[in-house]
Amino acid sequence: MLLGLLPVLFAESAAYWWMHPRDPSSTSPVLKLSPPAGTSWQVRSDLYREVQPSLHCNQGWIANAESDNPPGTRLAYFEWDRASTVNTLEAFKHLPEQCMGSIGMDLEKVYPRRRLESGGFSLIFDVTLFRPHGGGRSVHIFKCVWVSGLDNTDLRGDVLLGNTGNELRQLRLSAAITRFKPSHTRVIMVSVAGMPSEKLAWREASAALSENLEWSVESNARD
Amino acid sequence: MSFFDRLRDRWADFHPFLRFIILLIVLAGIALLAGRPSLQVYRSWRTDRTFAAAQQALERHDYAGARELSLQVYRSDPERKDLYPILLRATDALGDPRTLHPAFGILEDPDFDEKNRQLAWQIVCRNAPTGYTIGFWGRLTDEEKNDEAFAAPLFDRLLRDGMTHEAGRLLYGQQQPLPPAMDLRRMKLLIATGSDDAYREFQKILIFRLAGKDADPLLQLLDEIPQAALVPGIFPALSAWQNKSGPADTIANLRLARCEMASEPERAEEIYAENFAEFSKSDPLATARWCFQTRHLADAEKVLSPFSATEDTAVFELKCLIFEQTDQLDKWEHVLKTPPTEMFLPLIFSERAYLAKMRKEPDIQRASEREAIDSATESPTNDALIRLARHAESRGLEDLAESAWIKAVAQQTGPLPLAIQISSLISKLASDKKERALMEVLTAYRLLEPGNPVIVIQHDYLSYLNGQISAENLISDLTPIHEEDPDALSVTCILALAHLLEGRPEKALELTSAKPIDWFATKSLNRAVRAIALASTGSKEAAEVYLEDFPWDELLPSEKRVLSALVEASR
Repeated sequence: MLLGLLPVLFAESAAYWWMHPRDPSSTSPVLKLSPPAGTSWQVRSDLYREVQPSLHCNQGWIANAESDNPPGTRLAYFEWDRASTVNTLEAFKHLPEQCMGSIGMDLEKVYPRRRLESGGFSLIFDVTLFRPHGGGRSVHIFKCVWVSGLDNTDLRGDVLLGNTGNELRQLRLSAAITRFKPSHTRVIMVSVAGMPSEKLAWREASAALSENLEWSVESNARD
Repeated sequence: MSFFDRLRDRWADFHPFLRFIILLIVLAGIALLAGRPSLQVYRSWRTDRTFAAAQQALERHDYAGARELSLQVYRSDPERKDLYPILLRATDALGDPRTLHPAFGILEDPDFDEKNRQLAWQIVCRNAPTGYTIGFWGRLTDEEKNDEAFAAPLFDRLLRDGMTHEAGRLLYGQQQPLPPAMDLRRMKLLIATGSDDAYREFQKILIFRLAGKDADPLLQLLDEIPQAALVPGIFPALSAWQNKSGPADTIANLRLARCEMASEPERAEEIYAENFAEFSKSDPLATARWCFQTRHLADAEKVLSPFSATEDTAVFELKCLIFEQTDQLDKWEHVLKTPPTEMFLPLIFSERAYLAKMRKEPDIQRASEREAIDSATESPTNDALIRLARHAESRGLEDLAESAWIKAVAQQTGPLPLAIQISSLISKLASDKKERALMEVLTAYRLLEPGNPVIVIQHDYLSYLNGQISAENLISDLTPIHEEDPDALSVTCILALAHLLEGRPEKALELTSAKPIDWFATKSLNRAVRAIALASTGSKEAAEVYLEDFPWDELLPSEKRVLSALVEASR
């Protein structure tokens, strides 16, 4: 019996050792996005409460731009702190076409990714255009997944060892191989409805974001 | 062991339940194959029976039953065209707006007999939007177009829509001489035109006809000519005709008296007094109408005073006119409070709103306008909102007219006018920055008049600004219009805007540089597009000249949002 348990204990110990490397005593930046201030934005706690249980995120918020006339802009921000590899990689899993498709929107176009410079760091936004099935007002979606330790990550590009955000199984394997264990994960999603061009939609989205992005420094000495 | 024995063994090896299922599937398959043709025969027989029942229901004037049965037939066999005439008659009798569908079906198929096609055409002229009606007119055969049974309903529709020029063109396109029914419509057109020249022309023709035999139908139209527009020559002609025709009724005598007053203006009051004394007792209603026509309003009111306006529509209408024109607003209000039941309620509420406007009572005006809209919306007739909108326009009740038009257009049913006839509404919605309502109207008319370039341009432009269509859609829609009329600056600038938004400023500059244009004399949109095209291609100083004191408030919200963002980006 004891002989049978020994290989299991050995394997678990090896896995723990492999996935908990000694951290170099260094510091790393941590991203935070605050809700836009002012009366033109309304934070929708009810919407956040609806999605939080499925995302298992620690914190977040959803805010709508208040406007008498279309179009509408919506900002969503979710954070996972002291994250496990699994839930961090889940953040990559949902490409916009998956969640937008489920609410009856058709993917019309995928634009080249956008880069937002903030505090000396770069955030990479995946850019897509959706339209309701059968026609209607278009919606530009800008989605950024920021993970501490993975700089310039592109949702559709190379996340880890050439694996993309929609290949979760391979991504987990890559995370294990590279001993990747992130501390913080952030998802920022901006939807701009009814804008005739991606350029103008990005102007609106980046204007809403840039003033509210904050970076802090965290020591990596852990465990 | 033979092949069949082996098969039997295999079959015996199966579990009994499995054998039962296999047998069931095989039997069901056989039953389906064998039963399908008989099922079709049964369905066809049942449809024929329902069709015959629908015909019988129509013959005994059970229109609701006929409609229900014919719809059942339609559901089981949509290709069955002999159903259309039954459905057409049943839905028409019930005032069902779906009557247009069988009507369109009959008109699209020249194999239907003349009687059905005539009825279908009458229904289309009465109920369909003008754009559809004119479209179907173009698809009728030449023989039908020269048939008064087809031309007359279209003429009546055009006249009702106030399209007198088009009605005139229709008449002059008919084979001459016109048949009596169309000739009468020609005279009606002269009266509807309402100019002194048209009244003179009418009377000239009438004098000529009075010398013959066929003047009778025209005499009623003479009553619609204002007293001041009657020509002196009409009296001797009418007098001679009446002498020739034998004893005349009160209306005819009073008509003659009007003409006599016009021919002898110095004796007009004397003639009036004589006739008033003679007829006011024997036929007070006709006399009151005559007093009103000859502008003796006090006498008209006196003659009508014993009659109640709550029961007789003629008395009600005449009293309203008299009280309005004599500024007796309290009496007018009292009459409007209790109209006869036959009166069209939305117009009564609209009149109350107009009265409140005259009295500067905004709260009562708003409440009456609300009631007018509500009653028109609930009305079972398909033109209630359109009638209300036209009435409100004629009374200068702009908000009521706007609300009624928007609601009427949004419903997309009823005899909606051409887009050009509501162009003032479209302009007003744009100047009032009511973008959502403007979009609704343009979207509805895009369906009603898909070939109207003005609507295509405006609808595409607004849809594009709001992200409803892509730049590719806009460019593919507007390029043919631009190629056909390269001088149309608004199309050029909208195309240039699309190129700017798609990151092709050189193309936008090329489009806006094609001809020398005084940009300050054009719409502010055009000026902004020119400025952005210049700024985006490096000519920032030249662009700033166009943007100095730019009237941003003149733009629609979406225009302002997009253009201001583009200007900022180009700077």
